Formats: sequence, C-alpha cells, structure tokens
Amino acid sequence: MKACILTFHALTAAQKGETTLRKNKIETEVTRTPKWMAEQGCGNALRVNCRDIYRAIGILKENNITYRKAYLRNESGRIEELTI
Amino acid sequence: MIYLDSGATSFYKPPSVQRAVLQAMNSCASPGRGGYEAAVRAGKIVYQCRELASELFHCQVEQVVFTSNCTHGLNMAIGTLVRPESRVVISGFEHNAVTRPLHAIGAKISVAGRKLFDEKDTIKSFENAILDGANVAVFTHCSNVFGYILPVEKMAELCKKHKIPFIIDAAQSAGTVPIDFIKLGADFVAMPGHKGLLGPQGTGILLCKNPPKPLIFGGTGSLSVCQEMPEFLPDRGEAGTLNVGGIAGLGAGISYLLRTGTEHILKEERDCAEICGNALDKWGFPVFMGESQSGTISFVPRVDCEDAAAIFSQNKIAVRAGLHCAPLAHESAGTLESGTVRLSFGYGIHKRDTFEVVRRLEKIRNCL
Repeated sequence: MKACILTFHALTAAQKGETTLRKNKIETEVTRTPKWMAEQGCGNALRVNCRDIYRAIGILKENNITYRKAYLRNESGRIEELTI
Repeated sequence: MIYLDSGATSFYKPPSVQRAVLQAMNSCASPGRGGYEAAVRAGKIVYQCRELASELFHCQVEQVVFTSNCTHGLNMAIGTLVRPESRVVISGFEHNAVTRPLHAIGAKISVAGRKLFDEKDTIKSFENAILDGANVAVFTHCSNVFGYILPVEKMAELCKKHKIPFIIDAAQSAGTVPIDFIKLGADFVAMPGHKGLLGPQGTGILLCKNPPKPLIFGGTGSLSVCQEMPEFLPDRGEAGTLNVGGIAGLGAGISYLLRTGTEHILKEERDCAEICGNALDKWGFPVFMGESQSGTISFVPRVDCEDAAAIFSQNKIAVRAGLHCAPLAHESAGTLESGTVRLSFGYGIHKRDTFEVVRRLEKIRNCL
C-alpha cells in the first residue's frame, strides 16, 4: 500500500478527520507528523492509502475539517507535497 | 449515610466511571505527545469523551474544552468577554465563581431578577438591564442554593435579540436539565465534570462558540515553535497535560447519561426534593420551593444552620449548610444572615431513601 499523509494543526482535528473518513469507509490512522513536515513544530497526521487520497480530501472539505498539507510517496520513493 | 450533597459533588457514580478511571491510570500516557500505544490510547480516550460531550450538548467536538472544574471554565469565559469597562448583567442567584471574577476585573455589575421561582420577573428584569446598557450577560442555569431553574432559553433569546454575548453557568444543570449549545447560542457554557455528569473531581467542560482568551499558557502538543497559544479550539483553552484518568471517568459518566437518558434522573431528583420539602414545610420550617425546581431545596432551621447540619450528620444524612459560596443568592432570598441547610438530591438517591430521610428527620425535627 502506498501511504499518503495528511497533516493537521492539532490532534483533535486529526482525530475528527479519522472518525469522519472511517465513517465513509476510508481506512486511515492518526499518526505523529514527521518532524520535517511539521512546519511549526509538533503535530498529528492521518495516514491514508494513496488510492483514497483525493476522495479523503473531498470528504474532509465537505465536513469543514481543515488539513494543512497532503504528501505522497512518488514512484522513486521520495515524499513530495501533493498540490491540490 | 444518605448523601444529599450532590450540589457540591456527586458521591455515587456508575461503576463504569470507576472502571474507566482505573483502566486509564493503568494504560494511558499523555495524549498528543507521543506516537506509542499508551499515548495513542490516551488520545483516543480524550477524543471519545469530547465526542460524547458533543452528542449530549449538541456542539462540535472541538468546541468541548476540558477544564479542571466549572470555576476554571467560568474564569476563562469571563476573562474572554469581560473588561473593566464592561457592563455586566447577572441574575440574583449567582455563585462566587461568577461574582468573584467579575469583582476582580472591576466591571460594572447589575443584578437582575431577585425573585425566586418567578420566571416572568427574571425575564423582565433581565431585559430592563439590557435596555439599560448591559453589554455582557452571565447567568446561572440553576441556583445551587435553592434549585431555581432559570428560564435560560428566554434569557438567551433576549441576549441574541440585543446582540450581547453571554455565558451560562451550568454547574447545577449539566447532566440533568437538557442543554442544546447550538440552539442556545451562548458564547460559553461552563460545567463541572463531577456533579451531574457523574465524573471524577478535577474535571470540567467549557463549551466554546469561539476560542477563548487563554487563562493558562503552556504546551499543547501543537504548533510548538510558535510562542503564542494556538488560535484554534480546543488547544487554545487546554495548556498542559490533561487529566486523562479524570476525562476517562467523565466519558463513562456522560456515556451512562446518554444511554439512560436524563429526563427520568431530573424527575426522580425533583420528586425526592418535593417529598422532603413538603415534610419540612408541614413541620413549620421555611422551605424554598417552586415550580421551576431542580432536585435541590433549602430550608431555614430554628437553630444555627451549621448546628442543624451537624444534627443531620449525626443521623447519617449528609447535607451542606451556610452560604454555599453564593451570598448573592442568599441576599436575594433574604437568608444572608441565617444561611440555610441545603438538601440536594442526585444520582444514587431514590424515593425509598427520601422516605427514610423523612423518617429520621421526624424524630429529630424538634432539635432543628
């Protein structure tokens, strides 16, 4: 599974995202944001299967849940920011 | 012991509350600080409690800010809305948790509605105070001394009509009298976790329409580089380590209330208060009772109220006497000098206990 990451400003927002995505049958899990992604230091993220990422982002937007950034691992294994 | 001091704290708790606290103490670390199992588990427990509170009070999960008690929440709310130049209207039955912060800030205070169990007077006085220039309102949902349930929905409508921000003190109502945060439109509703919500002491909830002005500054597990407290809920109101064990218990208490419903709890409490109140009234004691009443009543004994409470205690009935940290309420009711003995019925006390209370009081009523 290719994992994408959605970063959030705080744990509660990530948890709300997790609950909402799971209700919509998208597998996801709260995780710590990798330090280099955390920008202002410390945060939480959602790990989502990349095949679900666009649907996940759409569901979050519909439910007014704001994420900070989305990242995916490209074919060469590098993590890059996903611009939507 | 028959415990009639639920107005101070709930003594009996559903067994699930104790189990939840113990389980959390054995398995939870600090939420939002680490990625290992115990930290993740702590995070889930805290979030579950937020979800349960949002269901009970009809609000968004992030609008649930955990505090250490209702007083903490009220201080945060009042500190957000009130300035020294503010003109604040309060009811005649406020607790010191409202009046002391207002006094400390130095705002101009007008007291509206001093007649017990008189909803029309409360609303009219309140509106007059607003028309007179009040620009913030803080009022209790239910008097901790007399059990008067104020017409907060109508008071809220007045505030919204005149566009003044308002805070509701739900210390005595949360968990028994329904509270719909979105419908009420309050800026803040503060409540303890350890009374009607049946959680442990050291817990409370502040429902926030918008992020408050922080009362405490510190780590939130978010935006650590930034030296300002985060601007968003709930982090802005929650610096430092949360009381995870307490919140686990609080979650279990709220879960119990959602499963069993709160209407029958309020009815039972009211019925018990009425049984006792009627007996005291029959024996010639001044008892404060009315239609819009919770499960709390006060009466004036013939002896010193603390001596009367001691006699109750000797007969294994736990009550509170004195001014109940609400001198304003006593001033409004004319009991500032005498104080009252307060009987507050809560979870775990049923009609059979109340009949036993009446039986015991009948034997000692001449000493009271």
